[in-house]
Amino acid sequence: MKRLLIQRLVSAVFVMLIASFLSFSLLFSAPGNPAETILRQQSGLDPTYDEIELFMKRHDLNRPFLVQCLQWLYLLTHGKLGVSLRTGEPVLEEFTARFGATFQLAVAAMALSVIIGLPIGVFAATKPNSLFDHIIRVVSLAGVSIPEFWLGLMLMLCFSLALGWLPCFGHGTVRHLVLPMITLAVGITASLMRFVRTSMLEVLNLDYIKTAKAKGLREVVIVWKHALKNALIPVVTILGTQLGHLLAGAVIVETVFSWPGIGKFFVDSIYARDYPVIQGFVLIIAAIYVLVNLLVDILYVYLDPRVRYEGRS
Amino acid sequence: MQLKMKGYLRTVTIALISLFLISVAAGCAKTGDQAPVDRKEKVLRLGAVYDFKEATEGKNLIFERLVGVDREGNPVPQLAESWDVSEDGKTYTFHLRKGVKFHNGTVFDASAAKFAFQWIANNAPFGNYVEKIETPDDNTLKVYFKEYYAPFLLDLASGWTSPVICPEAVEPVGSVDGKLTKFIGTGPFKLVDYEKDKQAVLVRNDEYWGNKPKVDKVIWKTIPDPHAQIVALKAGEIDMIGITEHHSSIPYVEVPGLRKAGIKVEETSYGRYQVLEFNCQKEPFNDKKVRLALNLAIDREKMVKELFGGLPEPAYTITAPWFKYGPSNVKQKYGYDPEKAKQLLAEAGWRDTDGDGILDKNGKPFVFELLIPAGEANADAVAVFVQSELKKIGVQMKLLTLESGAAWDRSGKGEYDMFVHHSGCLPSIPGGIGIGQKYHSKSKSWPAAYHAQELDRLIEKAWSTPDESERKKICDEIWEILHQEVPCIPLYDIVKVVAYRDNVSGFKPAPTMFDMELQHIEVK
Repeated sequence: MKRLLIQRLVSAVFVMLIASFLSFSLLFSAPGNPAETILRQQSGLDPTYDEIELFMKRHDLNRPFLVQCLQWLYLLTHGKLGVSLRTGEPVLEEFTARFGATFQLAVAAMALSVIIGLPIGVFAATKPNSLFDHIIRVVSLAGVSIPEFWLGLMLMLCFSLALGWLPCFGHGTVRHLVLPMITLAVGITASLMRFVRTSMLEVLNLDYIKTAKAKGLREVVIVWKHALKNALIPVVTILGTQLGHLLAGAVIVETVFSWPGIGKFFVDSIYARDYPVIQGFVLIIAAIYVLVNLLVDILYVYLDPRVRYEGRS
Repeated sequence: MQLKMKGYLRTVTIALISLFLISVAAGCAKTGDQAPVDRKEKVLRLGAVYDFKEATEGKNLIFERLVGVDREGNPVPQLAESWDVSEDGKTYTFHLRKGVKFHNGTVFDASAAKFAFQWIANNAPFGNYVEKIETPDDNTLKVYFKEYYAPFLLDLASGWTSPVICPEAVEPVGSVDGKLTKFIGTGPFKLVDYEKDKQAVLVRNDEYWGNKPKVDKVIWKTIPDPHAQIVALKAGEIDMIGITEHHSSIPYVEVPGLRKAGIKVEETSYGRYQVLEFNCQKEPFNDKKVRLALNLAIDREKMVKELFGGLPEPAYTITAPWFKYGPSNVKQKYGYDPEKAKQLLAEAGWRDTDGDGILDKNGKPFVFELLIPAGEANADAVAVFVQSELKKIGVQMKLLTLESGAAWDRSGKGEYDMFVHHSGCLPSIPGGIGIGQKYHSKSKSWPAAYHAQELDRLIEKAWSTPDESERKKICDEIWEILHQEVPCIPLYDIVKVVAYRDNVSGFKPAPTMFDMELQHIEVK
C-alpha cells in the first residue's frame, strides 16, 4: 500500500502541473484579454485604451508567456497561488470560501444517487425484460436526457412557487440543499441505474453464479453478496469520475439555485480571462481527481480479492 | 497485505448514509440565512445577479462622490456643497459639506477629502492632468490643473472612478497607493456582513447627512439566474429585482407576466440606446448612401412591439436628445422608409442583376456579417428581426455570435462589418463624442468607426473650451455631421426595468443607471 501511495503522489504532482500549464496556455492564446473584459464588466462602461494599459501594467500582464509561467511556478513553491485579477483576493481564499458548498452538494447528490440508483439497477438486472425492467429503462433514459437547467427551474416552480415547501435559492439549511441535490441526482441516478443493470447482467451470466445456484444458495445471497461485489468494480470506477466531476463544480445547478460553489466562479473566471484563478483552481481540482482515483483504487481491494498492490511472491 | 472483506455491503451502506448526513449537516454549520428577524425591523431584500463587491452598484450604496450628476448630465452637489471654477477652467475650489462622517466615525474634512482625491487620481483619467491639490481650510479643497480638462466633474460624479473612501479603508492604512480592502464610506448604508457569492447585509447609517433611509436593513442576495430571480420574487423570498444591474437582468418579455402576477414593474430610460455600429472604413459600408439606406429599412416601431411588447421606445438618434450635450437640434432624422432605402441602394450602384433576390454590384452580392458579443442583452432577437427586414430590400446579413472576449478583441481591431453595441450614457460624455472616444480618430478602441478631420477638429474644440453654451453650439454641429454621415443604426432605448412586490413603496429611479436611491423606500 505504501508503494501505491508514493507512486500516486509523484504522478499527482505531474498531473497537477501539466493540467494547470495546459489550461493557462489555452486561455492565454484565446482572443480577448482580461483587462478589457474585467473592466467592462465591473464598470459597466467601455474601458478606454489607457485604462486597459494601466490594468495590464499593474497586474504584469504584458510579460511574455514563459515568464508568466515561471513566475507563477516561483510563487507556487512559496505556497502561494496568486491573486485573482477580478476580485483582488487571494486565489486560495476564493477557492476555500466556495469549496465547502460544492463539496456538500457533490457528496449529497452522489450519496442520494447511489442509495436510490444501486438497488434499482440490481433489481432490474434480476428480472430482465420484465415490466419493471422496461419501466426502469425508460425512466433512466428520460433521466439522462433531461437538461439540468430545465429540471431545476421546473422543480423550483413546483416546490417553491406553487407549493411553497422549499426555498428557491440560497445555501445554509437542509431545506436549501434539497432541490439542487435532487436536480443533480436525477442525471446521476439515471446513468447509474443503467450501468449497474448492465454490469449485473454480465456477472449473473457467469459460471460461478450457476455453481452457487446449484449449491442451493438463496437468491438474495447470490445476488447481493456474490454477484454485486464483482459487478461493482466498473461501477465504482464510473462513480469516481462522476464524483471528481461534481467536485469540480456543478455550474448549471449552481447558477440556477444561486448555490455559492466553485463551479460558477470558475466559469466566470474563464470568461474574464482571470489567469491566476484558472491556474490555481485547475491545480487544486487536478489534485482532487487524483485523490478520488486513489480512493477508488483502495476500494477495489475491498471488492476484489485478486487485486494486490504489494507484491507477494 | 491482504484486506478482509467481511460484511462489506453493510459497511458501504453505513458509510454512504453517514457521508450523506455529514454533508447535509456540514452545510448547516454556516449561518443559515433565515436568522430570526425582529418583527418590527423593516428589511428590503434585493435580488442581484452579481456579487455585492463585484458590482459597481454595490459600491455606490456605501461610497459617495464629491459631486453627483442629474439625469441630463449637469453636475449637482453631493459631498461638495458647491464649487467655483476659474475663468480658464484650470482651478476648482470645492466647498465641502459640513457634519459628514465616515461609517467608522472619522470626520470627513478637507484632509480626508484630499486623501480620497489623491487615491482616486491614481487611477482616474484626470489624474495625469492634475498639477497640485491644496486645503486652505478644513472645509475647502482646491484642485489645480495643468491644462483644462473638460470631463473632470463628470469623472468625479462616477462611482466607478471616484468613490470617496476613508483612509482606513485601504491597505496599508492611509496610503494613497493602497488597495481598497474595507467598505467604509459616507453613504446612507453601512456594510455589516458579507458572504462571497451569497449575500451582503447593509444597515441604515443613522448619522447620514442627507435623507436617512426609511428601511432598517437592506440585504443584497446574489441570484445569478434571471429566471430564478423572478421565481424568488413571485414566491416572496425577495422584494425587489432589476435595480442592482445597470442593464436589467429582467427580460422585457417577462414584464407583462410579472404585472399580471401583481408585481409592480417600473421602467426608466437612461438615454442609452442599442445601436448597430458600421465599419465605415471598408466595403460595403464606406458609402454613406448605403448606411442611410439600411437605417431607413428597419421598422423600429414594429420591432419593439413584437419583440418587447412595446416596453422600450424606438430610437432615431445616435443617443438620447435630452442629454445636456445631446443631439436635440439635429435636422437629419432617421425613420422607416423602405422604398427610399431601395432607391438609395440603387443610386449607390447596388442592383439585383441576376434575379436571386440579393442585390449585387460589380459581381459581388450584398452579403455581410453582424458580429454579436454573447451576453449583449436582447441582441439575438434583435439581430434576427433586422436580418428579416434587410432581406426585404435585398440585403443578406449573416449573424455571428462570439464569446464576449473574442468579440471585443475583433471590434478593437476593426475586424467586423457591423457590430452590436450601445451608445454612451452618464456619467461619461454620452454618444462617444469625447476626445479619444468612439468617433474621434485618435480612438484606439474604435478604428473602424466613422472618422473625419472636420469631426476631430470640432470635437477637440468642443472639449477644450470652458464656456458651456459655446460647447453646446459646437456639439450641435458635431451631432448634425454625425447624423448626416450615419455612423450607426440606432435601434431602441435600453430601459432599466425594476420589479418589486406590493409590500414595497416609495421607489424612485436614480439619476444614473449605476446608482440606487433606496432612501425613500418603505417596506410593509
